[in-house]
Amino acid sequence: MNCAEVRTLLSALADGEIADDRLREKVQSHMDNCEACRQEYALQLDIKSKLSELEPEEASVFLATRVTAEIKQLRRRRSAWRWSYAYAGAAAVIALVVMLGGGLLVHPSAQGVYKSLPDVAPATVALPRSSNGDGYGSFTELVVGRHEEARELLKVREEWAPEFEQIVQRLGGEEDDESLYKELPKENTEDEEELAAEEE
Amino acid sequence: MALVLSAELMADRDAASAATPLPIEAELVARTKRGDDAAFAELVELFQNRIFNFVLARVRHRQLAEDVTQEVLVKAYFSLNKLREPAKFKSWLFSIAHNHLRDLLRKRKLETTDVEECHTEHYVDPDTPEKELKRQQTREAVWNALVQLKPEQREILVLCDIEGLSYREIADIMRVPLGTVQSRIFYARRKLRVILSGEFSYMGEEL
Repeated sequence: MNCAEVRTLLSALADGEIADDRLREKVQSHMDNCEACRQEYALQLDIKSKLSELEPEEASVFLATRVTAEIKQLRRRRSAWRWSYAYAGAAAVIALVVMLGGGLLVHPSAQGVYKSLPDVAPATVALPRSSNGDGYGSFTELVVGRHEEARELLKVREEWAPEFEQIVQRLGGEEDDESLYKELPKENTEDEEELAAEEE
Repeated sequence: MALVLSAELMADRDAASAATPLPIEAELVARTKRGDDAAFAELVELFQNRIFNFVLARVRHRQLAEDVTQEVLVKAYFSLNKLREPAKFKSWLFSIAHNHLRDLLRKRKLETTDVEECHTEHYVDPDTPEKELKRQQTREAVWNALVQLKPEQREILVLCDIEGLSYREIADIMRVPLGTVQSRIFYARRKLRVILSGEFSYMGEEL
């Protein structure tokens, strides 16, 4: 083996990384007869030993605490995301049920209940007028009529609700602005989120 | 023609270590995966300074090294499910540190040519015996020389001579062939020696 070949193996020799006994012996026997390679090998060992004596720097005592705190925070954030998906899903289901169920409450067959109410003579009761200005012939008519009007209003509300919300927001203005419309009652889902945030 | 050590000729330290008992981190990793936070806190305790020193040698800035170490440890926690062999936690963690540094430094180009002050000045008791004083001076000089090496050379010497990782582990961490590990270590030590001679002659000492 020549010096160039041996030199590149000297670090591996110093680190005990040569498993092949024959190769190791070849390197050793070359060094027995070569001062330059012996010196090079001594240098490798010397630097290796000096580096291993270095005193490690110490990180701040608070590093471990910061690591733990960050992990906890990230874990909470990830589970909060999961919960908000669950809430959104639940809210969607509830909204669907309400919209379908609301229709059932004012089903035409419910009118039968009002038909059985005692008829009151129109002369003794001053009946209010309906929304279109017509009078009601009887108390029963009044109740049914009012029911119909309420049902219409509910339908209208459902159709107009999204636009209504937008208008409220626009009227509400920016966060810092004062506005009467800020006093409008919020939706239930927002309250739930606030409660969840407070609990954290 | 330079002879590069092939994989077959390399000492198989991994095979040798199979006969030895599992390192403590294997048990701690298993416990962490089962939800034991205290186990991960112990892992942090065991490895934070080692990662810190590894990163510090690269970035040469204490605060930055601390921030990066924190990021590496947090990343490790959330990637534990990817570690298939708990016994290999040490080199896996250094892998994360190496990759994280590489991505960070590529994006932010933080490496400067100036050497930052990152080595704490150790208090030297005037009553310290001469021998110990000399040792401390040598350590200072070695550190100062180490931070002047090129980043890959610094990194490889930290992994090999300070952390005691095998060539195979280093090859996996740095994603280079075994031959590259071998020659890089050889030339890095040579270079360090040259810088050290300069340091010592400045200090008026013969190395």
